[in-house]
Amino acid sequence: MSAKNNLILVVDGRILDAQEIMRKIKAKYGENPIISEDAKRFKNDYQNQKVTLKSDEINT
Amino acid sequence: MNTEIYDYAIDDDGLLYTFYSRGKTTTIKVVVYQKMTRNHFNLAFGDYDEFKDEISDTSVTNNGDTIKVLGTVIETIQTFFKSYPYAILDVKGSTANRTKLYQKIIKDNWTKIETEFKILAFEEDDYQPEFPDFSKEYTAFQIYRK
Repeated sequence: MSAKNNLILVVDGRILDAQEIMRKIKAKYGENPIISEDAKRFKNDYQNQKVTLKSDEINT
Repeated sequence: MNTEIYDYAIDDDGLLYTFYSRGKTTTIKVVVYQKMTRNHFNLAFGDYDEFKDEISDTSVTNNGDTIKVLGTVIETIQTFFKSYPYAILDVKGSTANRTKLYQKIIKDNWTKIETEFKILAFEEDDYQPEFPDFSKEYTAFQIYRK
């Protein structure tokens, strides 16, 4: 099993703490982070109903 | 997975994963399952720069461990689907080369993957409903749990 609750690594005197890194990422990119430009564009278009998904038809 | 992988950490929601690539340098890798709609997600993967507090999904590290890094990304997909079993996941590399590497990992682990997942492979946005033909070069994949 490779999934861990946390990973801490010391590199050249720096402490890398995975939970702290993820906390910073969520603070910057949101609780459900969207980081890629394609995804930002798609989400915006979807919310404005400019695009639809087949999965919506299947699951409604 | 037949590929060697790194240990990784997960956030409470099961949408954010972090691990360290350890080659010539140490790089912080981030895998994000971007929630597009209620059950539709998009995989993003990149490097986190702790000094700039930024994620880049186009950076090329050349750390000599590409297969191990992408193998770890694929492994997180299995973990993601444990939390979100009804998810539809779009996988497309930020570059054609990265998509090609995803395809290689999927191909190398196909026997195991196909027992658990259904994968649609896209060629220029037209999905191929049959078994992926790995002699072709696909542009994206869509993954469901069987």
